[in-house]
Amino acid sequence: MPDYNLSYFYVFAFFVAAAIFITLLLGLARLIAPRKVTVEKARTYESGEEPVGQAWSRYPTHFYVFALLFVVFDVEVIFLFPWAVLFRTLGWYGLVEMVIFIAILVVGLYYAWRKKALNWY
Amino acid sequence: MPILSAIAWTPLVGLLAVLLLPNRALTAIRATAIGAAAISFVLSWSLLFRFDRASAGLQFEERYPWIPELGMTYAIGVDGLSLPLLLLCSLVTLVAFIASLGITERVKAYFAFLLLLEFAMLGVFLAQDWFLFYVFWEVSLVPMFFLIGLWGGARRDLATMSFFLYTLGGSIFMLLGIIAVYLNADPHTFDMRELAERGRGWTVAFQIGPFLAFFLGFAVKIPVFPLHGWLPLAHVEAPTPVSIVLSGVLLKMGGYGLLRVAGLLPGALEWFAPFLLALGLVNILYGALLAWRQTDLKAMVAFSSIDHMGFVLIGIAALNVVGFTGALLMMVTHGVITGALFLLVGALYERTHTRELGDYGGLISRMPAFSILLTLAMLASMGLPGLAQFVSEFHVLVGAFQRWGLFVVVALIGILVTAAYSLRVVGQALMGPLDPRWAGIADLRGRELVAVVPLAALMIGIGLFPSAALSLTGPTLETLGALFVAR
Amino acid sequence: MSNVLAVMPEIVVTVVATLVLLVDTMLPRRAERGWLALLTVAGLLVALVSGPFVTVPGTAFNGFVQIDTFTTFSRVVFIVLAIFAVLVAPGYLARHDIPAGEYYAIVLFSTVGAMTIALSNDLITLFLGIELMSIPVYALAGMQRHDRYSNEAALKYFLLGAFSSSLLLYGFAWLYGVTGTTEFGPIAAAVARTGLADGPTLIALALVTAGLSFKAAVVPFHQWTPDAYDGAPTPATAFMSVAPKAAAFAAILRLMVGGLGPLGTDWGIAFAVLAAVTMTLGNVVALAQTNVKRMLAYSSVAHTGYILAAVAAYRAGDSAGAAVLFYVIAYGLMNLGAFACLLYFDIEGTRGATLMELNGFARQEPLGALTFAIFLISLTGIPPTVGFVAKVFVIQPVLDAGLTWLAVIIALNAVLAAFYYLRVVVHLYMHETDERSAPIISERMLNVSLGVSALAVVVLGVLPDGLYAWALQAAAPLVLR
Repeated sequence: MPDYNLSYFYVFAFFVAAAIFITLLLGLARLIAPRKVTVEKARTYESGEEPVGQAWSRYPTHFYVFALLFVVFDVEVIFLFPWAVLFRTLGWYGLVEMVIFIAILVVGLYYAWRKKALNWY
Repeated sequence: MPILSAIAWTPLVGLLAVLLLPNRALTAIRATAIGAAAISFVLSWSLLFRFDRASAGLQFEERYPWIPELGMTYAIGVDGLSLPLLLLCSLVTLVAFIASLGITERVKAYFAFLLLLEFAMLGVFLAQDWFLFYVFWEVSLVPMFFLIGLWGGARRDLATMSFFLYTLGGSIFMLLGIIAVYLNADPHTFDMRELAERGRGWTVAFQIGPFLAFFLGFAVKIPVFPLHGWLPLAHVEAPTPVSIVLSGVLLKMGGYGLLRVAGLLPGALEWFAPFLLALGLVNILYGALLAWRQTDLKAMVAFSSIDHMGFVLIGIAALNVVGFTGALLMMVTHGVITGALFLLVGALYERTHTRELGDYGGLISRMPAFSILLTLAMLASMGLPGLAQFVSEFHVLVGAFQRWGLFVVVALIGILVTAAYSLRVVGQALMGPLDPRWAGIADLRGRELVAVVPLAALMIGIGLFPSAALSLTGPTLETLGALFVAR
Repeated sequence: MSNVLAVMPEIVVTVVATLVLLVDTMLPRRAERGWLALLTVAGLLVALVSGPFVTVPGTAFNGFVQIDTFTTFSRVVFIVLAIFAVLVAPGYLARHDIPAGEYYAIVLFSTVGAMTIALSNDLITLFLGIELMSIPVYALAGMQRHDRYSNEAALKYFLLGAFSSSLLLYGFAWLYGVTGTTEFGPIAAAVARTGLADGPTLIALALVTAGLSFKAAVVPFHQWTPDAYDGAPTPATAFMSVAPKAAAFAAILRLMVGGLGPLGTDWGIAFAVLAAVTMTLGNVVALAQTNVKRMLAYSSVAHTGYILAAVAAYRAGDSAGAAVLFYVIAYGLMNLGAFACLLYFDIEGTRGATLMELNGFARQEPLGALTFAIFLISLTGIPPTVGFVAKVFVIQPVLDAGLTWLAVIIALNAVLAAFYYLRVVVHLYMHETDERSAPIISERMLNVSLGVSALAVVVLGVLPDGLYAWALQAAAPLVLR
């Protein structure tokens, strides 16, 4: 069997082992544990607030925009960390690259701002 | 001066000039268009003085690379095969232009399309490169589509769509045939002469495929029996000048192409000849019988075209010089005669607004010139000796008899029926008591006479001096005929 | 630095896109935005000339990028199509209250993506390009935000597009697993060694074929096409129907003919069958349409089939690749033009004109009708138009590769297509204006750009030599040896 097929086999074996292990544990727990059903235990939250109203509730679409902007800047940070670590080796080239990268994002933020995407109403 | 290019491109220059004229300058538009057609006509007929009648080769050749990567060239020239049809084309188109003076709607667009059509048709007969041939062939569809669709009769939508779809359906296969032949030649070439030299060496098994593809394209145009559905519709709905061009020139493109392919794929033609004969005979009988049954005068002339083009087919099926000569001559004479017939029928319709044969009667007393010309054309159409069509029918029958013997007798029945309906028209429309409705009818006007008299003269001229026409075609067709085993 | 120079045109287009967005926000709300289009076109022209002067042939970015004649050719194609799409849009955008700056910027971003596909030399660059090209177009389809059909178009296009991207990416992963590399050259070498011997290669090939077929709208992966084209704002449809398709075929040429060329015998026959099915189904369904926009949408599926036929004829050599490139640019000009001609009709929502609404157009707007007729005749494939030459260039390699049956199917389809294209011409010219005819809008910019492209369609139809020779050159580096 070629090497890469073997590595797929390992993954498969891992899945099988995990499945057996979990089934075994849960089955064992069910067999051994005592069972006493009460009203309290059948509730959604055994201890805490009762849910009020429907699960389907409406909320402002603005959150989407914020979520989107958050993701954008989150990803920006992910790129900034490795760049900061390698700042010395990358030198000026890296700095210019990063400035361009951030500039593009700033333009995007500016655009969102001008289009009033950041206003709550 | 490259005379052939001048002949072909003059209509296109005329087209540009017409487009630049203002919409309302009707006289200038008409004059420019007719002028361009007349220049083309004079230039092409001047070739008669310069054409070397002893040579079978191409003359006045011009050749420029066009798409050299795939070997397409702008190659034009004439030989004994294309010259008669070129002359026919420029003459009949000029006649159609003169007949178009009666068009009053969208005059500018009309003449622009007619000039484009003339350019395409001249190109088809001049092209010496199969690809160029195909391009001109297809270009002719577009102006025809608009000419029938915009200036046609009541059912023009149907007529123009069926014309276009039938023709495209056939010709697209011709394109496949052309490319197949191109690919099979080594080195690849579209040149007609080179391909003809190579094609003779190919096996019949290979030749049959491309031949059928070519034949499909030509058969729709000729039209051959099961593929003729577009023709009556198109003819009846088209305005008179367009009918003249359609039957006078456009149908001939099919026969011309078939003769060219005879030189390209002789083996396949020989294999196919019995079918060609059968199709030709069916065409003759079917066309003649349907023409006989028509009461609409224009439809009758249309069906008679199917009948007469059948002779072209059996002339080619004869596979000998006499047959080929007959077929070629048939195309020329039929172009002349049917052009005159459509012109006369159109002139009559303009005056009476009916095409029913039963509505006419006794017209000879009011329209003597018209009656004489119509009688002449009808007699020529039925092949009366001394008139043009007799010569060509005679050639066809002799040639076909040499190859196929008594089968040809069937064609004679067709001629008989042709005589029957031709004489009926003369009898019912011209003789008898005059219908009071037509008491005030006028005879042919000056421009109508100018248009039809040259055609009439040609009918008599070719009939009396066929050698003038035959001398043009001789050497080329001898070479072509030599490809086939004489019988 | 040479890396940056290599992708100069792409950088220019990106900068212009950002610039257009910024300028748009700085303009007052009610200001005239027509000249934003001119700014966009000027930027595209700069990108057009920057290509040949600045970039040098060769690889860049450690083999991720390949600059060759194919790249140069494709760049020009994409830029020309983008220019055309921008020039026909302003009037419609203003009338339907679509944010103009965003429209132009989206077209530009999509163009950058398409250009990236053309310069890719690696699965990663290729995928990046495909996504960068597709995602803006999803937004483009939904730009008319208050129209339900536009929303439907955007959603369908997005869902199926995302689905196809994932298929494609999964295929790339398998391909990497099989060959151990993402670069086209080594991939070609690896598959040439092993052939289609084992299952994983087959899975990779199938996934990649399906993914690319989605992007190019090949039957049976075309289902998104009619709704997306029909529902999108008309100028966006015009762009969507040509640029992503051209880009998809650039990807097919780069990956299938280039990277997977050694497996040609395997995907060649699959493409031949797909091509036949695609053109036939596209044409047959188009026959039944009465709405011209929807009819053109189906007909664009049929044209995909013709182009795919040339891909399937890869065995004929460079002439097959050149046929694809030539057809793509011919199709781009005439199809974009035909969709753009629908902009003459002032109709609610994103709906295109029905046949009845075209009645008598030739009387009211003779030149507009003439350009429309030229585009339709070219789409039918009648000389002297570029559509005819393109069809000949396709049939030639198809016959040369021995696929006679496919050539016959192309021929039959040409006749089918003639029927519905000419029916439009009949309504334009041979019916008189009546109460059903749509109101007409005539704008100078639309007139001029349509006129110029119609002229180009005819001129290229008469003198195709230069472009074809260039396409042949561009097709030469595709086959990796």
